[in-house]
Amino acid sequence: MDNTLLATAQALAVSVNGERRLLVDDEGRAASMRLSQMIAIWGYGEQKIAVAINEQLVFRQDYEHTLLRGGERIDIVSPIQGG
Amino acid sequence: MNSADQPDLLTLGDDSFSSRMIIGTALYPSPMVMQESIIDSGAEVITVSLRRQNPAAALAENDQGAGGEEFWAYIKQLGKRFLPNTAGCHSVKEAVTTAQMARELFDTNWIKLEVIGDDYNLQPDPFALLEATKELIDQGFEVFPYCTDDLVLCQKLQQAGCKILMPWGSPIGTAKGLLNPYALKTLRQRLPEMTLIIDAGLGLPSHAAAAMEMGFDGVMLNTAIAGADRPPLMAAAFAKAIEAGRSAYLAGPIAPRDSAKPSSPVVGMPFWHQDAAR
Repeated sequence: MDNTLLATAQALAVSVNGERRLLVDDEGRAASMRLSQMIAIWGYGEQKIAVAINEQLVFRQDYEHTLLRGGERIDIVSPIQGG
Repeated sequence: MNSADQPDLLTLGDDSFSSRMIIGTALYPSPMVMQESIIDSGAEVITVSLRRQNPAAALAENDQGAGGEEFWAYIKQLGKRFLPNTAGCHSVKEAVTTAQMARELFDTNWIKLEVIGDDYNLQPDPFALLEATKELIDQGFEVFPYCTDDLVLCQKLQQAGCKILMPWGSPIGTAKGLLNPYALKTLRQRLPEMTLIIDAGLGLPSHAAAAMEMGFDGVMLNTAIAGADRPPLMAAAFAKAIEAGRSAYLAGPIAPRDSAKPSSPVVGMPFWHQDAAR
C-alpha cells in the first residue's frame, strides 16, 4: 500500500469501546461513514444501545446524520445488571 | 404521618408506589433467580446500569452472561419502573454523560446518581456529587443521589433541587446495617419534607425494619437479597420487614425510658398486707 493510501486508512479508523476499528463500507473500502451504517456493519443491528462520541451523547434520531471521519472515540453501551 | 383514610404510598418524582422497596438486578446466581426475587419482593422499581457491550453475536459465543439482550428481555417482562444508576463513575463528566446515555437507553429522566470518591469503601465523593446533581437537575433529570449521612451535604442537595435522597446505611455490600443511627435520625428530623431512602449496606431484614421505624420512606437493596442462599425467600423477608417497620412508625411507638414501668396494675395486688409492708 503506498503512503497516501496507508495514511487514508489510518485516518479512517475510530475507537469503538476501546478497540480500534477501520471505517470501511460493505465492500471493505475505507470511507467516511454515517454512524447508522457503522452500527449495522459492526453487528449491533436492532440491539438496545446508546452511543457517545468523544464523550458526548448522540441521540438516536441523529445516527443517520452523524458522519464519522476518523479519529473519533465511540462508546456503545447496553442495559446491564445494576444495584 | 399518614391518615388512616389515605393509601400509604411512596411518592417518587411524579409517580406513586405501594412498595417501599427498590431492588437491584445485580449479583444474582441466574436471571431466573433474579426474576423470581424481584417478583417475591413486591418491589415496583428496579435499578439497572449500562456498560460497553460487544455486538450480540459475540455475547452469545463467549457467554459473558452479563447484560445485553438476554438481560433486557428478562427485565422487560417484569413491567417494573427502571431507575438507572451511574455506578462506577468517578468524575462529574463521567456521571453526567452516563446519566444522559441512561436517559436515552431507558427512556426515563430518573437517575440514581453515584459519583465514587474512594475505591475501597465506595463512598460518594460529596463535592462531585453535588456538582453533578446541579448539572443534571438543570438538564431535567429527577436525581436520586447516593450520598453519605452528612446533614450539610444533604441540605445542599435539597437546595440544588433534589426531592429524594439516598443516604447510605453502611458501605455498599458490607451488610453492616445502619452504622450511624444518630446521623440518620438527624436527617429524618431536619429534612421532614424530603423523601429519604436508605441505600447500601443493609444485610438483614431487621436493618430494613429499623430504617422504616425511624421514619425513612423506603429502602434500596441488592447484595443482601442477591447474595443470600435463597434470594427469593430473602426478598420476601425484606418485604415483610419493610411493611412491619412502616406500620410501626405510623402506629406511633412508645419512647424508650430508663426506669421500669409496670404494665399490670399495682392496686389490688393479693396477699399484700399493711403489717408486712412495715
